Amino acid sequence: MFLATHGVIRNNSGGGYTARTTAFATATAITDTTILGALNTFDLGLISNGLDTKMYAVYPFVGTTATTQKYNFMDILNYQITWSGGITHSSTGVLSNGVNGIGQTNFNPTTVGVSLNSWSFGLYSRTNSLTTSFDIGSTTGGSRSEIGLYNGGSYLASNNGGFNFTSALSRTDGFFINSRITGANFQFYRNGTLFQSISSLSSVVNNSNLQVISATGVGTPSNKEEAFAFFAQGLSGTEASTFYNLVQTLQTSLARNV
Amino acid sequence: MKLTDITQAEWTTYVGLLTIEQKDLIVGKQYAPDSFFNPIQDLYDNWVISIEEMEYCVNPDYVWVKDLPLIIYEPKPVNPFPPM
Repeated sequence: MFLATHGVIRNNSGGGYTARTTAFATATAITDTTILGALNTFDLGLISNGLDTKMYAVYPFVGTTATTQKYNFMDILNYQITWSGGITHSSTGVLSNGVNGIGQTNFNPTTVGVSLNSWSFGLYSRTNSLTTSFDIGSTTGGSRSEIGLYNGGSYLASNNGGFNFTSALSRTDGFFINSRITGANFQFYRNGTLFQSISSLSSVVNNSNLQVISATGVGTPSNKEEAFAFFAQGLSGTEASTFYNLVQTLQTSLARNV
Repeated sequence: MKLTDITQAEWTTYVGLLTIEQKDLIVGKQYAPDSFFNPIQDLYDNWVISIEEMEYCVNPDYVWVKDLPLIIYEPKPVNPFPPM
């Protein structure tokens, strides 16, 4: 019943992929069973933990081309990334040249209908480099929603409000989640563990197209390789931890975990 | 200096110099499938593209970018806190 209600389609080898995995495979023309199996496991985990209904967009950055890495796993028809500038696409993810390489997601939180106080986003960085970078989101559009993995010794984190520096950081690799579930503050997680709860009033839902490997409005792309990015409704601490475990399992299966 | 004169380790040091006319030719065009040119202005308002765009270009209409002269990249100052 579970498999039937979640649209598992039997593949040629006799196993079963979810409908999302199958659609993604068709769109990207990826046939690598390691990749598809890892995505399928990830999707089943989203479903069983009730996280799939919270995801607006998930970018697993698999395959080795701009084409395979542009697709939104949750809905291949929407929020496809437009890549421009100098970018390297490889089996370990996507890397801007730090000069002009950006990924425009065509995801506008206001247009999508994101709630002011239920909003999360994040990325999986494979690069530990204490150099300034702006890695996802936007700094324009009435409010800021962004993650900068290094800025003067801190993370830069904003969520439907003004900018904020976190307390001092030590590493820029890992899975970072920026999640707001109340109007008074939002939480910044690294690898499923709360790094800091940031007192920051929400003001207005960001009204701009968000970027990956950069942040809209800043002008300087990231210098950190990204192996995953997402936009979702707000996630609780428990959900952030569960989500990290699913993403880390995905990365480990693809032999690109940090 | 040309693309063939530099090593991959030097890719982040150099950019390809465009004329305004060349910039207009490539804006909005793909250099490879699902990869668009993104000319930007450097500190001196020169129009430039990255070594990656030059090296990875497989669009036969724009392979001429591989022959662009190279200059050292000097970026414009970044304001990390632009008006919202």
